[in-house]
Amino acid sequence: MSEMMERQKTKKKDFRVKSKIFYAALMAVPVLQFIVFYIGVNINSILLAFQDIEISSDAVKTVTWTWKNFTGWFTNETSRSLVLTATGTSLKVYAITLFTGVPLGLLFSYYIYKKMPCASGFRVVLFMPSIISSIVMVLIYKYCVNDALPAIFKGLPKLLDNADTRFGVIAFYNVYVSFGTSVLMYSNKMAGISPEIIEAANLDGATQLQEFWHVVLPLTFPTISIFLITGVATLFTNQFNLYSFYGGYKTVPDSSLETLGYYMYSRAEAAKLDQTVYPPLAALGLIMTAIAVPLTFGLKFTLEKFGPSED
Amino acid sequence: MEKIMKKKNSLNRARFSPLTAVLLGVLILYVLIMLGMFFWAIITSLKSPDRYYKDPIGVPTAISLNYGFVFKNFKIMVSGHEHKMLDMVFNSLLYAVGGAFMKTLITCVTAYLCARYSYKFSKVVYTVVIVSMIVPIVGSLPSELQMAHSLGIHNHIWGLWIMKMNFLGMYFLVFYEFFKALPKSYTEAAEIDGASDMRILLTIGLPLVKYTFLSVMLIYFIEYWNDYQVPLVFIPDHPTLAYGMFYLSGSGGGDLARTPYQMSMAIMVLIPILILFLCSHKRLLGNLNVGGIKG
Repeated sequence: MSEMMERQKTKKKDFRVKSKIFYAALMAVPVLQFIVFYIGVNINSILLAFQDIEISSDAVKTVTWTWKNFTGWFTNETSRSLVLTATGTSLKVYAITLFTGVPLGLLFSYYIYKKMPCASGFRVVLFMPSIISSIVMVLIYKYCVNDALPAIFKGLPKLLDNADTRFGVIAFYNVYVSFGTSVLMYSNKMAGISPEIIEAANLDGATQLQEFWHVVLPLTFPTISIFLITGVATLFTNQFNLYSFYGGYKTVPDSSLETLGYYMYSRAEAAKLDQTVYPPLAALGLIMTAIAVPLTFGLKFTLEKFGPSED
Repeated sequence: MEKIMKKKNSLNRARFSPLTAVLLGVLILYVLIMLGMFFWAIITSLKSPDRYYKDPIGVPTAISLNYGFVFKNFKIMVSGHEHKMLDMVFNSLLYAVGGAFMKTLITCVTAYLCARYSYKFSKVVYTVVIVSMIVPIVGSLPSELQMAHSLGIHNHIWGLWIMKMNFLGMYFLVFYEFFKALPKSYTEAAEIDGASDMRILLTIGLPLVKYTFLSVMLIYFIEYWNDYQVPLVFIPDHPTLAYGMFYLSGSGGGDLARTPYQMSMAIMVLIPILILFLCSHKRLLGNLNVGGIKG
């Protein structure tokens, strides 16, 4: 009897060892990838921010350590003004998304959740901009706004060529195409709300607006908070689709349209592997991260402390 | 169960109120804008450039064969090499299918390991995913480019596959919650029968998650197929279809710069992905659900 138990114990132990080997073998690839392309990239980004790279005519690379990649953004008048303008535009774009895109997304999700007329059709159409390449969508939108609208409404200027309307037209596009994933996630979350809770609200005589505000919204809040918290980074990464509208570096007709995300990408792309350009951009990235991290955690803390509770 | 579902449906299918009436109006306007844009793009793509510049919104009186012209001239010069449309389609397929498969597989397997094996390291990995989602690290593109260059993977499509092989992101949580919710009894029986861990993963874990796997892979496929910014900087000599479209819609348009050709080009690039979406939208818009972030 004891021999049998002993054998079973050994078998279990063998199985556990084999499990550990299997686990380690399968984990090795993702962990290695993470070490190189997440930890390595970020450490390299920090180091790069303090480097001054010079490449001589015979391709010899000289690296000296410096603070000037950081200070340059504050002392150099041109850089400072460009980054300040880009920061202002990024804040404007973020506010537009937050105050129009998010509420509209939630209301559309509620409409879909309540299975109102054509709800499933609207769900498909709202998701469509997410599956169409931004370059295709922008191309059609751009010509439509600039050529078709002035032909329909006589006297209307070419809205994208007009300095007064350009920002609004691009902002409208950005909100218009922003509903796909958020509506999908919100409506899936709403679909999981217990019918008893809705029934109780209805018995209490709640109107639909009250039901949405006092019942559905708090119960969807965990998903909303994910979008809000992860959305802070978009303040620094959102390119406002400018690359699709106007193309790369120095092609945007008005520098006040540039966001921080566009600024970073367009300069890095224009560098074409010229490593001497990278250090100031890496420094700017670090500055932005240093602002984004406390902002994100501040928002997370605020939402957890003051946001509605699921209970 | 059926009763509960019926009750849920009847409660969800609410009465019409001023709120829903306004929402219906806004949504109809949304759809009309989209349909209007696509309808205009289609009729423009069938017009000759001369006809278009005379009347940008009228229906074409004679159909112009722009699509053939666009197919023939959809080519770009990159680093002294000419790339035709079919080359770009091939590059797009390599990048999108390979990248999406690698990314989904790694995410799914890592989530499986974390959910089914309660080692301390699993908790570390889970925490890393959550932290990476919350902590915004921005502006690392220059470093990524330098790293890719120094590792010798820059300008190779397989290099991009390697770069995409990470488990970070929201879909890790989708897979994690799926495997965590799977009753232990599913795998215990196989364990008693002496099945190895690999066998359990291949014959029980992956088959059970296949529909979620396909949905996530499809989402990544569409994302990479449409992406031109990553190929532009990481595989500049292997233009994808979206990259080519970006090039030709800008200053490199040449013969294709005129609006009807641009619209034909847009429709040609749009149609395959639209068909794919319409065939798979039920799966795509299905049950991908994520709860709150804890930690």
